[in-house]
Amino acid sequence: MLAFGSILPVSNDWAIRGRICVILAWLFWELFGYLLANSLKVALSEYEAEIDRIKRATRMYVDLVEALNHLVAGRMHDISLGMSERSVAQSVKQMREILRPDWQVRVLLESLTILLSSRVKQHATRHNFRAGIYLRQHGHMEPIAGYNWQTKVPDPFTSPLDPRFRRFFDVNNHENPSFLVKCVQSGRLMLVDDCSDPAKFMYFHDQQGEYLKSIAAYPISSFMGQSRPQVEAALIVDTTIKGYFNEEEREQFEILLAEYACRLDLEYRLQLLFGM
Amino acid sequence: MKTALDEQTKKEFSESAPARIRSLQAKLKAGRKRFDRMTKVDPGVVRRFAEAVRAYFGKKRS
Repeated sequence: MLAFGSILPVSNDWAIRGRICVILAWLFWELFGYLLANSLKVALSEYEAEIDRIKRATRMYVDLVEALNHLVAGRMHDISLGMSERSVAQSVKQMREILRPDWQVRVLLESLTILLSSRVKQHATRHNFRAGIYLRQHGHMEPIAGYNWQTKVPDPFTSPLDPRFRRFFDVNNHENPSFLVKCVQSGRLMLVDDCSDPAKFMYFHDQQGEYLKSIAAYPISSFMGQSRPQVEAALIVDTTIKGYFNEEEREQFEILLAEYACRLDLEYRLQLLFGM
Repeated sequence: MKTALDEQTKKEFSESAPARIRSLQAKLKAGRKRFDRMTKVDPGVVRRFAEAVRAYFGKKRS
């Protein structure tokens, strides 16, 4: 640069201007490089986050396929056992003993909680999931089956059967309906990421706050072949993990719960068929 | 329609749960392994790109 200013036959003024221009160009180049490097860094981290999101969503579908495959395999095993004991089922009673739809309903709910639990990162070991199915009976939503992932106990839901809370489960309650009834009334999947927010969820008693942090409810219309237009049943899942059931993953949860709802419906139709 | 399980069946169900859980968890694990294998991205591609960017812009600022 010095050589450039001293060799060329230009006035001192022009030499200074030239140097300033070169310095400015160099500063501009540095600034451009810095901004480009930063924007590339931001773009790369956004890209990685998007890849993570897609992988997480795809993993759920893979898990779902594996879980459904496992359920079918279990069912085939039961049928094989039944067939080895008696070559062909002779009566409805024998078929019922082989297929056991009431047992299978709990296996389905158990499978759902295992699948949901498997999406939780390793460090959250103290978490729990509960799943249950509710049926509209005498104008109220009542639990007909359930499963608690941590205790392995079937049928853990008690609040809807408590006379103090029964009015909240009235399907015609539009004043202060329970979350489940809101789902039935709206006819769409409902998700609450944070149950401690009174605008989103209502606890029936204080203890619920300890084990109920996030919840999802999926409405099932034409349950057990009912042709009435209203929603007849709902599949409900709750967890101790705040933020688990969130709006960002709505579509994934919708697909997952729809698959399980369909299979639960099948088992209850079998129950009806067997006159259970 | 019968909805609740009797106490004996409930007990039987709870006792057989760990075996079912282990079995499904193993299946999920195997499925994920297969998925990860199928969707494995060559880490060298991203690394080489990052290194090239760093080499070009980041020498003085690193």
